[in-house]
Amino acid sequence: MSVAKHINVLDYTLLSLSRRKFKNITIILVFTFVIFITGSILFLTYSFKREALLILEGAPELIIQRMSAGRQELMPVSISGEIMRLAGVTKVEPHHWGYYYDSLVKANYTVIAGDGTLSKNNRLLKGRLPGDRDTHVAAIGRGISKARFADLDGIISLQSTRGSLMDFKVTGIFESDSELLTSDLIVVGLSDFKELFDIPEGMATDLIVHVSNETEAPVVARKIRELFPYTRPILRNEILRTYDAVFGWRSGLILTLFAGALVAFIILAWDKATGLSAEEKKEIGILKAVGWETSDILEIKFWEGLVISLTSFFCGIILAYAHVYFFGASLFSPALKGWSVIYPDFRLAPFINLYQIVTLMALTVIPYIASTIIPSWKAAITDPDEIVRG
Amino acid sequence: MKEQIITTENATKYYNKGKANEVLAVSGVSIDIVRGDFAVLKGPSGSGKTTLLSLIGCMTRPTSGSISVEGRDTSHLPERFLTDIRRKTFGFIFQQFHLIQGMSVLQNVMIPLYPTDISLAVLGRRAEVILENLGMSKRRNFPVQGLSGGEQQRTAIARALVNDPDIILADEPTAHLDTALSKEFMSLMKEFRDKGKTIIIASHDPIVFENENIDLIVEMRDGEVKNFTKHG
Repeated sequence: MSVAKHINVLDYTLLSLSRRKFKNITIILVFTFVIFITGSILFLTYSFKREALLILEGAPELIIQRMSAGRQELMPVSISGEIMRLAGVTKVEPHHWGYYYDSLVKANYTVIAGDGTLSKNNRLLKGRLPGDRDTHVAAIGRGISKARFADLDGIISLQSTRGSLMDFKVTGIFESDSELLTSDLIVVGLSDFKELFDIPEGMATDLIVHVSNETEAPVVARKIRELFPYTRPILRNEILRTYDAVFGWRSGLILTLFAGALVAFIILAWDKATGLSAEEKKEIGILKAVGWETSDILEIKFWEGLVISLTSFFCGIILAYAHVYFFGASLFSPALKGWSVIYPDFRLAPFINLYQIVTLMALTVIPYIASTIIPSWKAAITDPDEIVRG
Repeated sequence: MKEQIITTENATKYYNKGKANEVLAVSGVSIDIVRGDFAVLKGPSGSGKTTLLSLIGCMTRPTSGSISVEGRDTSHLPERFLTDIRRKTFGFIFQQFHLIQGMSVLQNVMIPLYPTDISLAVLGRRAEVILENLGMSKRRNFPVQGLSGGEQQRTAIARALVNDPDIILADEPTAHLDTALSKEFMSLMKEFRDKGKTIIIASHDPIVFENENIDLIVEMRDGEVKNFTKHG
């Protein structure tokens, strides 16, 4: 078969598509919307999961918290010595962190003391972290910097638990592969932290336990639980699984919310797959009668399906990308981010998983092309005589 | 002696055979049409003339009996060979014209030759020449749904001629035309016959079967040939 024949058939396909502008544009719009929703969910879910992975990449294998009546309480640092004596433990260090509600911007900030426990993925965009002995200085996330109009060397004021106002000079602003992690972050010196939250001496928020062999972490956790029954050891893998489950569940929730659109699309595809309109059947009959082969008709239908589905797919994916990474998934981020809506706005790092895209394409483009070709094939193998007679 | 171009031997066609709605459309028809004939299949509605035209034009296969086109038995040929014969040998003019709505006159005329190796430019020029000969060149870019009945038929004729077929088949071509246009149609067909084409028309219109240029009238009733009249 020559190239000229395929060009002619392609030319006819474009003519055919332009003849049914309204119908085809409607299909493209519905198809694009479905891809946009599905693509947005995929981008958002995987970006969140990736953010979670980035957060945990530099995190310790084991965190120990003190529990009382099912709630977290301050942990006495004094038990560190006993934990250090356990086989496999290489280091135990206190960790000081807390949430600060900023009524000015109606957002929660995460406040951390010192720099020792920060993830290795966090880098300062500009400036420096507070030194060990620095007081009244802070490094802040970009979200806070924007919300409080505080750039480098600016001043950010926080109200302490006792009610006094504490001024912090901004010495650094974070950049990170994960804005989710650092957007709402404030790092201050240990003494400032204790003053801000009124933490008694010898107490920490939790303890961080480093082990020589990561696979031994569950054993160490069990021993700590036996020694100190009021503690709750949290393994890094447990946090990872929780993130996975939470974001997986949330994406399922969004899919349910938009199930109507998916159902509409499935009905549209089903309608196409189960039959052609009388006009379409007649056209196939005419083409057959004047000498088109069945394979020529299938070629037109293939190109038609490909043009419509690929146009919709790429429009939907591009819109989903822009929606998630440029507009913060504003359409359904409240449902996906959950409690994090109380954070200042943050921007997700653009991330594309090619495997996901190809899978989504396979699950939408191929069924659509099949739903275009199959009924046409049924019509094309019928005697043209029957179709032309109607 | 003239060459036989169409031969049917005891051709029979059932629709929905074996079902409750079985119809015997053509029963045991045996006719010969020679190259250059101007033939009419005459008969009332339901007499089987359109089905016989479809059998001759390889648009359907006979249930039994045989059909030969230019000496080749087409009764048992696979679909792709029948398609090839339809494209190369026949030009069809349908009762309802069956033009494709939303396309221009020129595009409709080009349709039979799209799935061929002829480039679009050559194809376009060929279609334009035919439209010119039929006095339709001014309308070539008009959408077909905006044409009058006569213009639609000329477009259908142009489409039937674009592949330069040996045989032109027309099913009730004057059914939607007034007397003047019907006569004009018959004149055009005579011109094509004079250029060596074989013309076969299914019609129950007296303007067609009483035309002085007709060589052969096959009169049908209830799916059977009742009379076979050869002129000249």
